Amino acid sequence: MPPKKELCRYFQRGSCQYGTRCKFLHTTPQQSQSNRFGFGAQTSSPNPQPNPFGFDTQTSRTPNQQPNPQPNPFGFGVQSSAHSRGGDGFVSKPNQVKPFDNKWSRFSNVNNSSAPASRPANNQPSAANHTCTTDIESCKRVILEDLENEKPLWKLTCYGHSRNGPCDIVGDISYDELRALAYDDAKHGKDIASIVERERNLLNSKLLEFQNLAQKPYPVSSAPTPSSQNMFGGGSIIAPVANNGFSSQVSSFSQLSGSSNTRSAAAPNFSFGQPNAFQNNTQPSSFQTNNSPFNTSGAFGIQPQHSTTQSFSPFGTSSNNGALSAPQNPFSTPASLPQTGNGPGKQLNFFTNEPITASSAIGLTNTSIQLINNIPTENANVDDGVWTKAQWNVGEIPEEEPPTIYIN
Amino acid sequence: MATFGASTTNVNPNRSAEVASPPSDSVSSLCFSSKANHLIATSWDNQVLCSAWKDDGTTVFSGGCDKQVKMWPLLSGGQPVTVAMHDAPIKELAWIPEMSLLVTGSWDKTLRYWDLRQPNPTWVQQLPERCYALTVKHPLMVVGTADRNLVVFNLQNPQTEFKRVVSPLKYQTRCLAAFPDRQGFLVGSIEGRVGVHHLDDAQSSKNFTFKCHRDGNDIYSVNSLNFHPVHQTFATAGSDGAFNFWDKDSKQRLKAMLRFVTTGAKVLKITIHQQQRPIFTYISPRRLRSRANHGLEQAVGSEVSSYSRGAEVKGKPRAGTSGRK
Repeated sequence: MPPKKELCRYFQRGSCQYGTRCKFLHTTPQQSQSNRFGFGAQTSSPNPQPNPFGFDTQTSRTPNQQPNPQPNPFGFGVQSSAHSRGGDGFVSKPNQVKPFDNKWSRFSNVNNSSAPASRPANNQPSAANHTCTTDIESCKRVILEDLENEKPLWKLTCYGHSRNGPCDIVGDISYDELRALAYDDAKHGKDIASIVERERNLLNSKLLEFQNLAQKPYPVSSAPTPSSQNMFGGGSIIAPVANNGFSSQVSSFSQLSGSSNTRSAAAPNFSFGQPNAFQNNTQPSSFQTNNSPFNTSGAFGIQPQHSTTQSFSPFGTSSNNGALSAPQNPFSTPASLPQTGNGPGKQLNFFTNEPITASSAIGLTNTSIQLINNIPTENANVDDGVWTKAQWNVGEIPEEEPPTIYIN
Repeated sequence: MATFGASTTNVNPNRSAEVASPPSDSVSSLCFSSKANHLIATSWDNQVLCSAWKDDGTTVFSGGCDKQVKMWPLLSGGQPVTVAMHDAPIKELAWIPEMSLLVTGSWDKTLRYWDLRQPNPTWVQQLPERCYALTVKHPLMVVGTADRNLVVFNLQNPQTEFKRVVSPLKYQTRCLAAFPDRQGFLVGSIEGRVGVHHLDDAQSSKNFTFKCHRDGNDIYSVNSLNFHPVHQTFATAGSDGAFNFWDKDSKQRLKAMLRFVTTGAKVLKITIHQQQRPIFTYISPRRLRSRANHGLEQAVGSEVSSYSRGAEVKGKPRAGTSGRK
């Protein structure tokens, strides 16, 4: 028992340098429970949550009085969980301003030979803590919370639920782009009403995407590698103006596949929204590696004749009973799907035993299919007529991919 | 463009001075000269999006929706010369004195380096997405693109990406600022949050994010981030019409400037003067019509300058440094 009965005032602030050997009492003060954040504002805040820092309208500042237990009282989200401010005292670091540290140039020399891409793969400690495959529930919760509480006023944005993780919703439009577009349209004589109309449509479709995400919060797995370029140039496809119907189709589609796909946690339902999946080489369980996006033709499309639980969602994964070794890369499937001869852009009819109600929703198809151009050709030892059939029945599903001529 | 002239009476709460003849439309960028007491502001009336001074203090670059960069030799009063072109509007540009190159980032997903004497770019760098933000502190350069990519370049080896990081923030990247000591950078997004990111992974435990520019349930975007050249503190400007000074090392807010109460005022850009005299300038458009996320806005640009007392923006030591025993 320390000799004095006084409370340590530095401990209250979370920064006592004496730690356990401090001669004052290290407990949270009883009478100031209501003043957890000691923020200068004498409001008794009932919520123990991190204080929305920066919201304080006072202009006079006092040094923060942070009680110790909260790791991030002001919403300072410390990313690495390894960093904890133990009760030992929060050592104050002097301003570590090193003028142009040598470390920087050292990395650059190394970079010449070793592929820069491998370097980022190693050093993402914060992102690696989070894998949606293992902890999908908390990811869902994060998504729902975000969409409830953290809705920015600018709606035309991408969104990713995990820091340093890939986007769940792509399709970013910035203020300036919208404005530039509007100015250009005005120059070309469009009247304000139609401009506003177009912008409103953009806004609505984006809001719809977010709503769909909220309803079916299947997050995209965060890759240990940083999201590198979408190999399909997804960003370019989702051009601001052309995005309207397209993106909403994606979302409604993902709902579909989500419903049929309750099991596989890594289900990449955001098939289009998550092109980054391809870059993810190190998660074999969740995504096919990107160097063989089409190789699942064997695995996916072609099932032995189960009559029961084979529900193939066109672009998503199939929920079957472990017949598939790995969840499917959604982009691979179009490769193995026969065209009905209608040509690109039309609906595809899929081989399925269950009625797919959303096959009509899959109008989005073909842009993605177009992208997949290097389809390996294999000799089909089935009648080629199969490929032009409109619908497949059980028993005639071929085991190979269609020859290239039938794609497109 | 407007240059900084005599100050007039002010109407805003921060006791700042206003620039005499602001541009007629919303101001898109601000830049202080490193040599003289000049300020360049670009505005939307000609759809200029970005500006930069050359290091000799006599020439200005401007780029915008006409997909070109024009160089304005101010001293000689000559005509502007086109020095760079892109396929899409140029969002950001910067002059790199150490390399004597101009770097431009555009919505055509490329970053181009220009030697002013030649019509073709010295190097074209592909970006994963459209360029939204750029910050340069030789040899550190960080480019923020759409879909939350952040690409870091080492300008000593500009042809390869040093690192590509997904933003620690969850929404669209809006602005970037590199630390003066080049140890990392700040990212600001549209969700009222700023992330502090260190490049060196050994320091990644010092990475954090914090919320700012929020008002109840309204979450405003952070429009601009700027470091103070002397103290290692920075300022953020937000669409809520406020701007704040922060110290990232002690994780405190140092000063909150009073918000504009006129409808829809938002602070678009902050520039901090390079010299010792602590002047910083912020711009805010005062909208004549109601604020809207979509639809054309008519805005009257007004720039305001403010003198900040040095002590207010100096970093505060972390609590607990006083030796008690």
